[in-house]
Amino acid sequence: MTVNAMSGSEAPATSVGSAGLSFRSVSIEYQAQARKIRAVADASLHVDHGSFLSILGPSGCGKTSLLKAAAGLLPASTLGEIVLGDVRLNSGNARRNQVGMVFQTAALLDWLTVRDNVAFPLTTTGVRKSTARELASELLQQAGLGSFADNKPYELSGGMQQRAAICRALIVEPELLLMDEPFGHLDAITRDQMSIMTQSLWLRKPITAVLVTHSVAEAVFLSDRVAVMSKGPASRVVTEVDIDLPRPRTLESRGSAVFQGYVRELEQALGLDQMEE
Amino acid sequence: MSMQVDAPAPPAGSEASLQNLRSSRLRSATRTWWLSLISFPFAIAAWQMAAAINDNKLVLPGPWEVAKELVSERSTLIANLKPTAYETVVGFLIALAAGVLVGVVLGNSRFLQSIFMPFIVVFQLVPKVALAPLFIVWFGFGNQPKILLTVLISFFPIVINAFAGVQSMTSEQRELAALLRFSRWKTFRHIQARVALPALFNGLKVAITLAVIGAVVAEFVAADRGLGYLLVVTQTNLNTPLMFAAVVLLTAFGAVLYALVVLAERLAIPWHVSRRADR
Repeated sequence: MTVNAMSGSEAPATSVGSAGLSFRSVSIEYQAQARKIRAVADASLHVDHGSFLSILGPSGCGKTSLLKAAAGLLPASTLGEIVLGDVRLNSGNARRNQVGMVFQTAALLDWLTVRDNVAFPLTTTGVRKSTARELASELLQQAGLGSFADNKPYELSGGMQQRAAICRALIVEPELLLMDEPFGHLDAITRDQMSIMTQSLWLRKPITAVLVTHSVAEAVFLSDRVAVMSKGPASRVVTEVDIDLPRPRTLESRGSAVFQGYVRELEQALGLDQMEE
Repeated sequence: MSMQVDAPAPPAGSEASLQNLRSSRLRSATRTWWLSLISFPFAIAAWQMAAAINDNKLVLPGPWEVAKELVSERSTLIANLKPTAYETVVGFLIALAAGVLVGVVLGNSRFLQSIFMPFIVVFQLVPKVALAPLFIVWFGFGNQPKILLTVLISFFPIVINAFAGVQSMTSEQRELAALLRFSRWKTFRHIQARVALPALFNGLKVAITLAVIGAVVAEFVAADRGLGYLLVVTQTNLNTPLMFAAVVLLTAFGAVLYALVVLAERLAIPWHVSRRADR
């Protein structure tokens, strides 16, 4: 993805000093009927510029809330600071296209072809259609979807749709990529393929990325750092584990002792070792 | 359906299998359209039988009688179809414009929605057919009262479905719009307007059939032309064959309008229609 056809005038705004993504005592409160629910309480977390972070945690622990807050989607309910470089993300201050996001479902638009879905963030913001489509085709090619560019999204399998959604998030060349359990609905084999594809897309141009997931193995496979959150409500970050494994990682490498060591360590932190899954 | 073994099935999800899936769906659709015509000969035969048993064309003229009437009285029928068609189409188009406008605005504003939605629902509960005499008092014997009744009777399904349509954006579509910093207008233009179409077309299908009823009922009350007027006249003259002919013509007219809405739906939202076909 070495495409620089973005509106051009926007120079990369990351100041080298404070690069990376920081969550600084972030709390997220929802108003549910009359009472306030504190989903996340005082969560702090840092990930270096250009590295891959995964957030693990039990269901309902506020992982998704944390991610949405970073996308600036919860400006009213977020306390504390989520900072990328020197931009406060949680108040919605990010430049357009500074953040790309992949949702739990692909959320592709049925009336557009796969190519036009990927090009959507550009074509709707003033980029020439032909330019946007060219970039979209290139990305789809890299994601192994080159021959499906002209299909409608509902003609694709779930895994293919989610790959297209990742392409849509990447086409704006974001500085930060957020992924909210994008592979949660997929079967185990497809999930493995998605992990490999995500790694290879990311390795082409390592940007700061945050993945929310339930899968410990997926987190270890993809990440430079894995954060574990406690059970909600009022959850916080309980552990951060740096994953020191050479890249590109292969599915076989998951069998290695080091990999398994990380998995066990994280499962312990999650409390999974005390339950039978 | 006969089993066809032409080629080894390509792996699911591959391009070839997609092509096959689409063309086979198309083939089965073109193969089965005539099935929907099967019921008609039976209905006509039953009608013929009932007419033969009854043997009084003032009470129940047979299909053949009515067909002859349709041909011999075609100039009268066509002359009376024209005003009814005009009132129906104009009334429907006004209801369409108003219904979409109101539905889209209310669907995007909690505030306006809580003010006006109860009013719209209560107004729908007023039997509008009962208002036809009032409209004659207000607007006289021209076609305005007929158009007005047509508008009022077909407005509700349009506004309710337009309203539901614009609210059917998923939370993820909203988040996508927020992430791309879309304004309300941009969100509407690029996402919401498309998302709303399937529901809107459901409303239009209901509304178009009601529009015909609105025009005819208004003509019952006071008119000097139109198929509704012709029905009243034939009743007075005991010209039952012509009455039946008028009903057949009205039905055919309604069917044509309905088919036009379905055609418009296919052109506007093929992505929705084609997916529904395999459900």
